[in-house]
Amino acid sequence: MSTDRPRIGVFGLGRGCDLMRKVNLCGGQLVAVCDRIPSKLSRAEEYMAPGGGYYVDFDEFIQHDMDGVIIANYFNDHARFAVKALEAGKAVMSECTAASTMADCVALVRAVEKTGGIYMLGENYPFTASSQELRRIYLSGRLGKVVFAEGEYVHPMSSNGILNIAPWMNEKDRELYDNGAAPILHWRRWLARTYYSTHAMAPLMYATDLEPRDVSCLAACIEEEAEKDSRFAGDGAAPMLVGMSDGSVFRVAGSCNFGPAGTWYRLACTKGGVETVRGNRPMIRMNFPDDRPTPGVTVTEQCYTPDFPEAAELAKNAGHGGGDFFVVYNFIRTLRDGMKPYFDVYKAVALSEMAIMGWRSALAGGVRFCLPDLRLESERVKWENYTFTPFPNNETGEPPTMPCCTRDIKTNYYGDIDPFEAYKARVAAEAEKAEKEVK
Amino acid sequence: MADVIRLGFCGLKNRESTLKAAAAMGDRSVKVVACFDGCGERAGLFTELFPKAAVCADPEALAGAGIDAVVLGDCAGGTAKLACMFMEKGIPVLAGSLPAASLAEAVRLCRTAESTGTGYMFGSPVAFGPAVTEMKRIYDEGSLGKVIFAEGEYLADGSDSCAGRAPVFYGARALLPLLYITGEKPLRLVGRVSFNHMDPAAAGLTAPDSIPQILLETAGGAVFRVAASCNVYPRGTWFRIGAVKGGVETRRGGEDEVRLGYIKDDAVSTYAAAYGAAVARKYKAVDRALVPEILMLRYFTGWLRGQNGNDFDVYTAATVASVVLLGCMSGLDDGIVFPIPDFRIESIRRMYERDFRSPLPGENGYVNLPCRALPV
Repeated sequence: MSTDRPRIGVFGLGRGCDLMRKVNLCGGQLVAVCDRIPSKLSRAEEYMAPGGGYYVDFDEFIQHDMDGVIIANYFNDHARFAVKALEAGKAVMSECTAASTMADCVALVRAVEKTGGIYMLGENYPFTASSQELRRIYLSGRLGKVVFAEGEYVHPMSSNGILNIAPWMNEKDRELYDNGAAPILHWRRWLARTYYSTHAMAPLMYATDLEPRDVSCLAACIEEEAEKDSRFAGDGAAPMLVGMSDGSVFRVAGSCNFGPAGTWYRLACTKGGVETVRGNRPMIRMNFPDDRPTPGVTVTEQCYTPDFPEAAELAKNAGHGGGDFFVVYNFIRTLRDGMKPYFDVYKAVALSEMAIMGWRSALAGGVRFCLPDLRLESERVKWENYTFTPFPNNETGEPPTMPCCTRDIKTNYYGDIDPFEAYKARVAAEAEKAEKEVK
Repeated sequence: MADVIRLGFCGLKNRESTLKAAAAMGDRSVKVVACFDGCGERAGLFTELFPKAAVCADPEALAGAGIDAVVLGDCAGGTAKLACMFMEKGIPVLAGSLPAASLAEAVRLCRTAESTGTGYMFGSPVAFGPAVTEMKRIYDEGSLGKVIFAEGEYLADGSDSCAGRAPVFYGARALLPLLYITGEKPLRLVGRVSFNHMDPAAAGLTAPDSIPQILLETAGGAVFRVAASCNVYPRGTWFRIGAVKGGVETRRGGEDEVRLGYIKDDAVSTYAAAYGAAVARKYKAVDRALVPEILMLRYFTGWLRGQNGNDFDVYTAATVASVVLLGCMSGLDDGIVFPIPDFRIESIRRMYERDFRSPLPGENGYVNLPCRALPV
C-alpha cells in the first residue's frame, strides 16, 4: 500500500463524483474510475492522477493497482461489488446502503472476515458539525442516559423530480436506454420507505454508541397520492420504532415524502435533552435542569451553532453539511494511518438489517422483528439465502420478490394483473410519451 | 337547554385554570353554581372565585344541586365512573383525563351516553391553544394536503401524583390535538417502551414511568407517533403534521409559535400563533394562559345549545383512552400490534366489556397493569 497517499478508485460516477472530488483534497490519489455509462468517465479527467484508468467493466477496474475502492453505484447494489473488491484485496468504502438483502448482508460480513480486508460504510450525516456535537455532548455524560431518540430524513420529491435524477430522463444517458428496458429497473422507482434510512439512524448510533436490536414499523400510504405517483413505491413514510442495544427506543424515519424538507435528530435523556434545531440543522438546542433540581423547572436552555472538531475549513465547503468531506477523509486515514472505521461492516449491516426487517414489519402491519447479530455464524446460516427484495435485479431484470409499497397489500390494487407486468406497461407508456415530447 | 347554563365542577384536580377561566369568561349565560372535591383544600379557590356557589359533600349532592352540566376534573382513576353517574342523571359532562381507565370503562361510557341520550365531551385545553387552533385552521383550508405523518408529545414535569402514570394520563393530551386537527381515526397501533435507567429518588419523582412510544395507523393511511412522559427533556408539548404538500408544527421551545413550510417553494416560516380577531378582541384583557380554557368552556356550552358540533364526543374519548391504554400494553408486551376498537359498534364493544386491565388505580386503589417497563 502506498501509505503516503493511498491510491483510490471510484465506482459509479453519479453520486461518486461528489466523493471523487474529495479524494485528492483528503490526502489520497485518484487513480481509476469505473462506470458502465462511458460518457460519464470524462467527469474524472480533472481529478485523475497521470496514467489513471478509465473502465466500464468492474472486473477489470478492480484489477487496477490501487489501495481502496469507493463503491458509489446504484443504491441497492453495493454489496456484490464490495465483496468482489474485498476478494481482490482492495479496501472498500461503500455508499449507503451496505446491502439490500439479508443474504447480501451475510455475504458482506463473511467477505470482510475471510479476507481481513477493510470495510467502511460511507454514511455522511453523522459527520456534520451538529451531529458530531451531539456525540460530544452525549459522551460527556452531562445529559445522563438516552431513553428516547428521534432521527428523520425528510426529503420530499415529486415523481418528476425523482425521475429527473434517474437515468434515461437525462439526455446524456439516453444512449444506453434506447430499448426502454432500463428505466424500469432504476432503484428510485422501487424504494420502499425504510430502505433509505441510514441518514436517519446513523447519526444517532454515532452519538450514543448504540446499535439497533429490533424494529417495529407502520407505513403511511395515502391511496390517492400513491395512485398519482409514477414511482411504484407510493408510501409517504414508514416510521420505525427501533429497540436499541441498551433498551432505549429510537424513532427513525428515512426518505419521508412529506413536508417540509429537512433532517432532525434529538436525544431525550434522563438528565436533559439535546437536539438539532428544526429547520436550522447546523444549530444545537440543549435543555437540562440545574444542579438543584426542582420538579418541572427546566432552568437551562442553550442554542448555538457548533463548529467542526477538526478540519473545519476543508469540511465547510463540502457537500451534505461537511459529511462528504469526513467520509472520504476518514477512509484515507483508515488506509494511511490504520484508523479503525466507526461504521465498520457490523454497524453497516445492522443499519441494512433495520431497513430490511423494518420493511417486513411494515408489510406485516407493525409486527416486531429482531435483528440478527451477524457477528455470529450461527445467525448467518439462517439468513444466507434470504434474498427477498423490493428492488428488481439490476443485472438480470428479474422482478422484485416483495412489494415496495404497502398499497399493494392493503388494497387489491392490481387485481389479477401481475404487478411487474403492469409496471412495465406503465413505463413503456411513459417512455413513448417522453419520446414524443423530445421530438 | 336553559338560557343560563348552570355549571358544576366535580373534582378540582388540574381545574384551577378552568375555574379562573369560568370566572373570566364574561358570559352571563354561564353561571358556576356548585362544586365537589374529595380533597377539601382545593375548594378554597372555588369559594374565592364563586362566593355564592355551593360546596357539596359528595358527587351525588352536586348532581342534585340544580346544575345543568358538570365539568369533571382530572382523576387518577379515570373519569368514566363519575361521567356515567352524571349522564344517568341527565346531566351533560365535560370530562377531564383520562376518559376511561380501562377498555371496559370505555365501553360503559359509550353505552351510557347512548342509552341516556345525555351529552358528553372530553375536554383538554391543549386542543384550544393558539398554536393548535392555527394548525387546524391551516390544515382545514387544504393547502397542506392530506396528513402522512404526525407527532404529538406531552412531556410533563412530574410534580403531581399522576407522574407515574403519565404515559396514559398525559398521552391522551398528546393524541387529542392530532385527531382534532386532522379528523383521522386510529385503526391499529404498536407501542414500545424504553428501559428506564432513572433513579426516581434522585430525581425527586414519585415514580418512573415507562416512557412508551406509540405508533398508530389511521383510517386515512397516515401514521402518528404519540408519547407522554415525565422523565425526559425538554419538557412541554409538541405537535407536528407532515402532509402531502407541506407541514406545520409548533416550534420546539416556543409552543405558541407555529412553523409552516410547503414543499413546492421550499420556504419555511415561523410565526407567533394568534387567535382570530374576534377572539383576540373579546379576551384582550384576560390572562393569555386562560384563553384556551375559556374557549374550551365556550365550545362545550355552545355545543349544549346546538351552536356548534362536538369533535370531542364520547367515541373520540373512548378511542383516545383505548389508544393510550393499548399503547402501554403493547409496549409492555414487546410491541404487539393492537387494533383500535370502534366503540360505535356494539358487537365490537362486547369483545372489550370485560377488559378491566388498567395502570390506573381502581376503587380500592389496586393497579392490575404496570405502568413502567422496569419490573417486566
